[in-house]
Amino acid sequence: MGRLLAFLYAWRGAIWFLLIQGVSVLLLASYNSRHQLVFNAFSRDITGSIQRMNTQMDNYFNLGKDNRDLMSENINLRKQIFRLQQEVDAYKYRIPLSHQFRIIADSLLPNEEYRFIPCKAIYNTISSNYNYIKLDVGRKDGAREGMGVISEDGVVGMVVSVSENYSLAMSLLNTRMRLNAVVSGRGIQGTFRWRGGTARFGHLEDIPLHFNLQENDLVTTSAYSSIFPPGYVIGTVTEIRDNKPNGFYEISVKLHTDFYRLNYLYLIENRRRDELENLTPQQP
Amino acid sequence: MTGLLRYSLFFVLYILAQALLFSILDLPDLYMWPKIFPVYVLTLPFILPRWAEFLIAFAMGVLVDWTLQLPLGGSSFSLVTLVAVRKYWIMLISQQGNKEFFQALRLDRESLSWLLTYLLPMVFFYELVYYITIDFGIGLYTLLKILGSGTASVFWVSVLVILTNRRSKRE
Repeated sequence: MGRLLAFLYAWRGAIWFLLIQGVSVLLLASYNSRHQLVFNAFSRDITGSIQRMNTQMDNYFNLGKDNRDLMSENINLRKQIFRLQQEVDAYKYRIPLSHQFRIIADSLLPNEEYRFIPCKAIYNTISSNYNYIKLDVGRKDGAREGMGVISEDGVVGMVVSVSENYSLAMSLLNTRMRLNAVVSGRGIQGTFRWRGGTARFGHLEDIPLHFNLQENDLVTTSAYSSIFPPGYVIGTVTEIRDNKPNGFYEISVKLHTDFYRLNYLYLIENRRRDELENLTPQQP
Repeated sequence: MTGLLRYSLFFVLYILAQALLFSILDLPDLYMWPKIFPVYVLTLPFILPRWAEFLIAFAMGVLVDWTLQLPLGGSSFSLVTLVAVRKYWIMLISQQGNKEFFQALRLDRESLSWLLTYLLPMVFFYELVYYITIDFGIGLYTLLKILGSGTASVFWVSVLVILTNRRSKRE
């Protein structure tokens, strides 16, 4: 209060000047038609600008809610995509050609195999060989160890530890992470692995030299993965080299996920994972 | 008290002189309309507080506009602007401007050349602000009015200053 008074006292001359000039301008605007027109237009502009700013501020402060709404809408859309994809697969592989135009039997339609939980990255490292991401969802939100982590752009990692309110995910940028991957459209199965270094590129391994690959081929999650749904994007093939001594290609993959800007993510749970992993071959 | 009475009397006299005498000297074809009332606010004592200077200038402007049926607010806006800048102009022409300087400054003791250097550009500045405010812009017509009225005002203010200066010297 004292500071305010000191400020007002120090600038009293300017304040008086502005006040009296304000009255003069008001007189001009009130009693002269020409000025009235200009001031009306000016005040309309000002009012418009203030309203626009107000709307922008409202939008800004509602961003959190909008993001949550969009994420839940995304989850629904993703569910629909997986459901439709599985319907297509069922159509392609399970139904005889003669029955293609018949309605697919309910028993053939997939159940909701995957569950999504929206979350936010609150901590992320990219400079180490063993990078991890902390997420703002925990056990109480339904997070479980072994869940996959995805972003809008692609695969991000896998949950390795869960507390009541937070989760820790092993990043795809972790040299201990191995991921079943497939070269989309060619059906070539391999293993995706990050070997350290830049956060933009990883490697697709275990692809024998007799397969035909091309740059710009899409690398996605494989149906062999029990964590991620098949067909989820990992990256794009950018470089293919023959590694003749071991008989496999050296394939560089440009990651689709920008690990420098992780923000809103999803945990993904395969509800049938336990069932799938409990199936072990019988020992003779 | 005498000072207050004197300045109050001059306040009325300047407005009357403007309304009754200098408005008749208007030469519309040459865009010349001399104004002498800005001299009143320019010669206000510097010991006055800023708010008083601004209020006097505002009141004179409103009265001039009302008396001469000019666009209301134009003269007061220009006179208040004039009062606001006059100290800076004096600081510029005198190369000094601390508080003591302004408290000691008496316009009736200054030389004629100093007075003219102080008043004439300020009178011209008044015309500039006034016509830009009234026309709400600056076009050819506005420029002609500024030049014409500026010249007329400078001429009549010079005459007034020279006459009053001689008389005060004789006294």
